[in-house]
Amino acid sequence: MLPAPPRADEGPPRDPQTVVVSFSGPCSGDLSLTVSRELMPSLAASILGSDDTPTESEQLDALGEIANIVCGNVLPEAFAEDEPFLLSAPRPVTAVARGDGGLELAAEARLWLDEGRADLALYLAPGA
Amino acid sequence: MALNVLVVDDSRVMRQMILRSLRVCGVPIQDVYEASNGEEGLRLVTDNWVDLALVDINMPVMTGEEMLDRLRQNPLTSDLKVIVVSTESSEVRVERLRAKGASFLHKPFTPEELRDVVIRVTGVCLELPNEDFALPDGSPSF
Repeated sequence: MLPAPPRADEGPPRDPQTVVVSFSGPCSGDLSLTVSRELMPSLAASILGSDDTPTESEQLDALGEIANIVCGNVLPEAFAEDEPFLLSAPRPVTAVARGDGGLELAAEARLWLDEGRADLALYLAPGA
Repeated sequence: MALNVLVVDDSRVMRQMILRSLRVCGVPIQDVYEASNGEEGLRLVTDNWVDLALVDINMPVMTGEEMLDRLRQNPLTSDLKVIVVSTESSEVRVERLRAKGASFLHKPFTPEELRDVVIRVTGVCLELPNEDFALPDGSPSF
């Protein structure tokens, strides 16, 4: 699995799976990561380094760990704060619920891979 | 000398990734113990001889930092070599962990970065890398 150039004609991930990491600290909110379900087996396999097809549990675990790593690295860069952020365990959700809990969309990013696309979104509590 | 290693992380995939990285780099491992939170980790350290613990911070039930505190309070485990493996980026928190005698490895990491920390902390001599565990091209680093 390798990064690929942006494909302007490609829509959102088909049959999406989303995981969310909630955070609190200098500010609070959610970071969501969404990929197509068909991308998940190869994503998990590349992390595990296994030729076997990862189980659904391993696929979700791998996606959650990626979201956790992205969140843990993005927040200090985005807010230049040295006060620790507390991250929740990643949790799978069936759909991205924008505005849930009063959170506001603050930033979005897309990563194109040779096997699909990954969408990231950062939601913040008002006033953050 | 082969190490008895304990990996504490609530992600099974990350535990496997850490163990695979150790093997890729030729770190000699004897017994492997896995725990999904600090409480389980403490129990395994109490019941088994462990040379090195690799511990995440954010975990349910008991965090890695609380586990580290409990290890240091127990005379039987106060000298255990601990590497915290985490996405934590707060220098304040990292320094606090170092003051408690833990080394720190930031996620994402490469197998080589993990190897270097393990060598520095344990002084272990490496075995020849096992080609069976070679990383495929394009593998992400963690």
